[in-house]
Amino acid sequence: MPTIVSVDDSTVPGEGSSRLLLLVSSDNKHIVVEEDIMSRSRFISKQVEGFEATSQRHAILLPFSSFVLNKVIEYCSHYRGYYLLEDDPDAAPPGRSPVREWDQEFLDVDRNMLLRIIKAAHYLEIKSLVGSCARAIADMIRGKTTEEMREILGVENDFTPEEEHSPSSKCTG
Amino acid sequence: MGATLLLLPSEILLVILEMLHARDILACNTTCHHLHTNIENSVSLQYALELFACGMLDGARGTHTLPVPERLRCLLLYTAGWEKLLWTGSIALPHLAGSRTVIGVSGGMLVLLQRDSFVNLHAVSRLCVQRLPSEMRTIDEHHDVHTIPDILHLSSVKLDSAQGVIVVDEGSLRHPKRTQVRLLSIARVHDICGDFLLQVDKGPSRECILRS
Repeated sequence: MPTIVSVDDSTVPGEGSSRLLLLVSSDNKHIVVEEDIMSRSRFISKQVEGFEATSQRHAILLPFSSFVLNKVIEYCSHYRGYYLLEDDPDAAPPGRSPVREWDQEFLDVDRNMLLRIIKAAHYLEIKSLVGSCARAIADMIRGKTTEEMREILGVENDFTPEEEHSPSSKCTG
Repeated sequence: MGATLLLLPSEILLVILEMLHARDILACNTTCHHLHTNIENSVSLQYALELFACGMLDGARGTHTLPVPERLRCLLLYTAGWEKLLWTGSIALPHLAGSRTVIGVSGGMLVLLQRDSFVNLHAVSRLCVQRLPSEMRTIDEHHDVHTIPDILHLSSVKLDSAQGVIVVDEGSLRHPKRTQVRLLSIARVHDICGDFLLQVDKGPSRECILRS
């Protein structure tokens, strides 16, 4: 049940701060964050547009934990006010997302966390973060053997021995 | 086992896979059915793998303006052609009267030299430049032939594919020497010729033209 939060528009100053959003994580933690921090997320932007259309603001429920959400907010706060080409809905998508040093350090987390962040970023439609996470995952598996990859990615070998030894496509050969 | 990559939506998987080298994509391809299916169904990944298999970097020549699915189609056609070593097409050359010599094929252009009969006691030759069809570059057959007419006392014809020009030397001991530099693509006189043709008396100056 979405909580109705009333924010008095008249108290909102023009510069330096923006309106507040209430985000609710899957573990039912309420997180208040400034709107323009989260504007990098297309998902949130669309929600805000909806608020403006109906002039009713309510909490945004998100399907991931506060732990992950805080990480995403940390990312968005870091890039607050920065222009990142991948997040521009009007710009042509870049061929490859650029390597950003801060992102690499920020995403120096374990595999589970990385997978959770990329899923959250995908849900929130933050393309730059999806790109950086994907790069981090790609870096983990680059140059590994099939067996090592299964280990890293947490996948099981579900091929039958016949399938494994008789390549069904030219790609396995 | 904790979180697995398999929980990710397909579009994220593809973003990750597209960052990998073909060698790594191949390794992923044999990890499990889920990844295998995703790789098999992605045109851009298949394209990367096909390129890798042919030892190419990006596409066949002239296909870089095409979208990826079209590029993949061309590449598969190309590879299949080599595997079977079959002619995928043939063209009929224009019928030209008189004796004919093939000077060469360069950049998809066929250059023919045709020696016509004597006109006013001068040996007259014509050069014909024809664009050959190419399925790889999706160029249809062009029937129009560009002709360089009335070459008098032809002494040599050279193709410079690197610069895309034809160099025609005319003249004999008794006749003034003349060098024509033509663009291979349309047989038009090259800009470096300035006026219609280049009159050359001495050898060294021709060298300069070719190096410019």
